[in-house]
Amino acid sequence: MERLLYFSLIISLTGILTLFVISPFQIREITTNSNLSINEQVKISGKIISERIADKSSSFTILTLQDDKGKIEVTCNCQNSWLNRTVQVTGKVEEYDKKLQITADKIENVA
Amino acid sequence: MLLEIILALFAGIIAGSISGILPGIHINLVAVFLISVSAFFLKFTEPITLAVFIVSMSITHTFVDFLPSIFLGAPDEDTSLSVLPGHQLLLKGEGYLALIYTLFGGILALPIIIILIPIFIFLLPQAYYYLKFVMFFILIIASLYLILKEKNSKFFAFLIFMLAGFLGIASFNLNLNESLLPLLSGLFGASSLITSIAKKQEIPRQKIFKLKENLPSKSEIKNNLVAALFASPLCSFLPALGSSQAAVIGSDILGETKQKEFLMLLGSVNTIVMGLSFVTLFAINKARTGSAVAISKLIETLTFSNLLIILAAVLISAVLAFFVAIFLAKIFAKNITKIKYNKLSIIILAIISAVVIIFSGWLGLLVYIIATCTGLVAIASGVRRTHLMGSLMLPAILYYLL
Repeated sequence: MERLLYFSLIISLTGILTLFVISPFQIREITTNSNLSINEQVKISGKIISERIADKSSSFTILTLQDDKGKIEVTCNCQNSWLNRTVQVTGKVEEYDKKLQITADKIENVA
Repeated sequence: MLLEIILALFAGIIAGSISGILPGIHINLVAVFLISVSAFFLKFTEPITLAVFIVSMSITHTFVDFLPSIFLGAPDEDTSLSVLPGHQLLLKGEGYLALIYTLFGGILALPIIIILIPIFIFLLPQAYYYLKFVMFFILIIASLYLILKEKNSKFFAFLIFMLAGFLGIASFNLNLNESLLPLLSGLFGASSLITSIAKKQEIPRQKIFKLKENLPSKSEIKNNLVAALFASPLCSFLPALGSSQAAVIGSDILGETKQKEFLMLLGSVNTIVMGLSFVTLFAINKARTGSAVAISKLIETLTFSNLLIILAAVLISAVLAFFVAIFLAKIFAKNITKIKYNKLSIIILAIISAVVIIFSGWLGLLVYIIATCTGLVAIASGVRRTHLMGSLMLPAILYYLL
């Protein structure tokens, strides 16, 4: 049992580290007219041209991000306003009401 | 419309029986599949009819799901804690009795659900408004409580919680379809099966007990009701806390519990958490189970009349599922010894692995292997497998903290 414990522990630790190493490479940089797959992790930059708070209690906000190729909706539980700012959004592609949108994990200002 | 709903109810019971028997298939996976095909079915029927199908399937699944867990050693997240006591009883020839106790628990869940419905509807919206500000704190307290209550090594309990937690974070950051499938199948399913195969266990002839001669005593029923009443509600609306944690908290409330009492409690909390997840959806518009997520996508705003239909479906399908599960349990108990248990475990392991590759790809298989090793660490160290729920709790804590 002790051998199993240490063997499994080593593989588990090594495996988890490996997943953390490969996960940034899983994030694809896209534009608004890129072909997207649901559940894909993506990164996109652009200007927030509209902002709508859909649920005040959770700060669930729907943003419209525009780049030189088009527009896409981004959702977040945003505490701050991003309106008229140029940002980089990292998040997951999801489908809502037959449209693809990005659920943001992170939104950062782009200088 | 009424006929459609009744047909949907029975179709859901059949579907839930099939999904419950299949090892490695979690109800969340089925719910995700249903969301993807719902657009097709909505051409022929109303959203509420499909919702009734999902509800009856989910509730039936919570009853039947213990069959593969106890008889095949192949649990999922919600039934993982049943493996050890269930398996111990299986090795004594009492696997059927172990299953019956989980079913009694499921039926005893119904009065608890009825008691909690008005509390959830009227008090939860106000309470949740304040609770969400301290959500991460509650999750940290719950995690620490479960680790500190570990009877064996608290160090390993913490280590496993953190390992599983980081594995969860890494998995959710990958481009993985159905990331929960390889994660939970590996942590709870494959690791248990590998241990069974390595031990080369032979299953003795299973006794088929008469239901009337094995009814739980009044004190067992009372203890179960009290424990489930206190432990389940919190886990019905807080994120990342599921039925396995509710069962551990509940058994701690009871003190020393016999195997059968624990199995009964596990049966109760499984059904309560699922049943109340639909009430939570109505009360605070938050979906805490895959089935509730599926319903939230079908019906944008759940009305009170929708909720009444759903609750009726919960109650009726629970009663019918009880008898379906007893019927299936007799078949399992009579036939389990006809097959070499080792070969059966290998076949089930192969099936789960194939399911992972089909739904999540080769990257999913990598996560599955790592999750299996993490699950083996838990088994080899002798700590409670509920700490593996760190795979969901740590990402949830970080989400609310950051």
